[in-house]
Amino acid sequence: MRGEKENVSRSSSSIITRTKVYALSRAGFLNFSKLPVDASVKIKNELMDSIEPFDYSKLRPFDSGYLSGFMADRFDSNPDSELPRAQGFLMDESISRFRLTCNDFQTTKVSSNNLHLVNPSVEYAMLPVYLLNCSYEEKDYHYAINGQTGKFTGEFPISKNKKKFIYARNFLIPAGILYLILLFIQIFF
Amino acid sequence: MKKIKIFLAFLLALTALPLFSETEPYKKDLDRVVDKDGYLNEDDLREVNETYIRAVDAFRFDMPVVLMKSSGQDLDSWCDSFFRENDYGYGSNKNAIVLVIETDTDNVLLKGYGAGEEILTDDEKERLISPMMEQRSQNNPWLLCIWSYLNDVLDLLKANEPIRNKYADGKTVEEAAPRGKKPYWYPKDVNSFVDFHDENASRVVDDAHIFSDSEIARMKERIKEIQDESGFDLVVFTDTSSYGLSHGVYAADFHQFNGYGFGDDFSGTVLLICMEEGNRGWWTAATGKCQEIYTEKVINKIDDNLEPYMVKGQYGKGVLSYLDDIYRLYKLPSWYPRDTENFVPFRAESKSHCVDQIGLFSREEQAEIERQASEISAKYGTDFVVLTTDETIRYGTMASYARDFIKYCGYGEGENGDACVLCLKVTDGGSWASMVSSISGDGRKCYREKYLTNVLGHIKRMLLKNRHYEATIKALSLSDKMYRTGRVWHEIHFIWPIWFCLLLGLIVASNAVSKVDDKMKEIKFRKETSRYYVEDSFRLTSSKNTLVKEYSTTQVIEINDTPSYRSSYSSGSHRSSYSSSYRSSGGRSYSGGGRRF
Repeated sequence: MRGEKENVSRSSSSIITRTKVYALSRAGFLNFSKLPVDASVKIKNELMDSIEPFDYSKLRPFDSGYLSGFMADRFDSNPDSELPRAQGFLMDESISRFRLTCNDFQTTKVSSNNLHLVNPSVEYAMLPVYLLNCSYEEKDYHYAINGQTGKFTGEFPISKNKKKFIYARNFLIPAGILYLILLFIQIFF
Repeated sequence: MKKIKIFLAFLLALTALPLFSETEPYKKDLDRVVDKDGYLNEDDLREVNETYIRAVDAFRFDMPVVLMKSSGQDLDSWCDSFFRENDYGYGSNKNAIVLVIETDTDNVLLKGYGAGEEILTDDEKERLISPMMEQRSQNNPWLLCIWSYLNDVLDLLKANEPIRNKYADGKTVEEAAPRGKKPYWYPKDVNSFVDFHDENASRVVDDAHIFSDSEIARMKERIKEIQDESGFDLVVFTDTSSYGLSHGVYAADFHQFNGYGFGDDFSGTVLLICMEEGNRGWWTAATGKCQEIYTEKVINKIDDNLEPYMVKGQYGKGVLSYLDDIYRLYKLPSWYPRDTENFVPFRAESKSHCVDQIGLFSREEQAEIERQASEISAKYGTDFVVLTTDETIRYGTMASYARDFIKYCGYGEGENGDACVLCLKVTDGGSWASMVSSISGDGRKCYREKYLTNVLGHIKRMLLKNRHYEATIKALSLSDKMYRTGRVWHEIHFIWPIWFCLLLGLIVASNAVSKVDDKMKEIKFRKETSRYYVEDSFRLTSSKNTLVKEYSTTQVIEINDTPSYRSSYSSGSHRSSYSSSYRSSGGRSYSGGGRRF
């Protein structure tokens, strides 16, 4: 990392900024546990990421009986293909942890980093998610709901006519008021 | 023998060495703020010293400050020995202003050396010391007092740039300010000087020898014309030095001590051109009735015309052009009475309601304006006059010109002499209009200043397009309306506000729609990985900080070295320094302005 410390001194005639540039190197260990990564290609990753977290304390060994009465899909993405995503998440969090050790510096910039995973393990788990799809004005909308917490995510459809109405209302009212004010100012002042 | 020769050559080279060495104009290694008892901390002292050194370099003037406890010695003699022993002062004249403060008794000494001696008058001492000691009385630290003092002393030095230049290196103190030496025309005893008139004295005194004989002859001729036309005196004076006086005072002294000026109040002006190196400039000083005429606006206008000639060194041409300007300035309207003091107001028997002095309108247009203006005058019992002119430089405003016109041309109707004048001024630079009413009684309700301004607002765009006739007819119709209805609204613009409103509407509507879009979007594309971090599992195994480089940047706050001080001020680049009132050495009041070149 590159870190900078600045010291500014002022006088009535000049402002002097003294800058010290350091090369910072940090190494350390962090533990992460049960980081979920979407293993379904059909479902948008962003959608799944947005409804986290899940309560892992209620995880049970798999039994096909849980799926009776539900439409269930098996995972269709292997761990190797999802590993870069998982590493990206871990790297971001690690960098923010290491940054906390550089509080003395006004600015820090990561120039290079290296993440080495020690004893990583991957396990498939089925998590309760409700998926809803709807179509409005020829556009498809997808929603996901966390089956444990009820957390909901998705984009709501917007009526084009209502949007036009909002635009027109917000255009005409202020413009009209301003026009009247400007005329009033011209007449009376 | 050869060794002796080499030794002698070596000695010769040693003696010649000082000739090639460059000497500093002042001792840079000396502290400019001498804090004998540690009132300032080290950083502050270093900073304040650095700033003082920068100021010394910028102003070529030393300004040491000493903070010390009282030593029981006479402060004045202590200051002298401190100054001389340490070799303070800038340049060969040792220009400096020294401030010594006895911190325990608040006893303060301010002493000038070289140019500082001339700059530092008793008044200036008071002006420098008072604000500083006021700061101190409010228990502010000495550091703040020193900053405040530096600010004030730099202002003083800026205002006295000519004196600083005069004492610049290469001139001895004696050369810079010849003690007691005054120009040949200066009275021996100013205090016993008695004002006199010398009508035969030459009105062009070229002591700097910058004019040719033919130019001088033409100037004298023009000055005579101006004197005859205006009744005011005018003198052109050039010199190679102002003898340590400011241009304004030197010009005023020349005017007073040589008996120039007409009448009891010595009304007249003098144009001084000073050719002193480092102090070159010109100044117009006016006294008596001319003081009112030479406003800052007038001075700037005249100086704007003169400046290009002076910069190019065409002094004769410049002064002749200056005299043309003065002629126009003094030129009185044909209707202006010669003797205003004994003027008896009268009512003209036959009056024209369209006085077109510059032939702005055709005969038909004049007839139409005359008809409409007479109609309004008859209808409302108020003289309504349309007046055109091309020059009102003599008058501060067109309104005062119009007022004089009403007064001296016998306009006015009824008991109170009610009249309203629409004055149109047309010059090469453009067209201007002014409306003046001299109305009392009921008419005041209608002819209010506000409504007159509204009328002018309506005709402004027509004047800009030089549609003078249309503008006049419009003004007449609005004046009719003004009297009839008691009001005239502003000219209302319907088109340009639409653009503002459209812009605002677009901004507000776009903002509203984007807010709606945002509100309806629920996906937050963010994974909170920190949730899966095992608390307290972070172990830092290695941490290393290596200093790679170190640098500093300095942003310099410019010290503006342009003259601006108290009663005299310069209003910007290419603007004249102007003083509305100052006194000559003989005590007479003058106003005036000028520039440097």
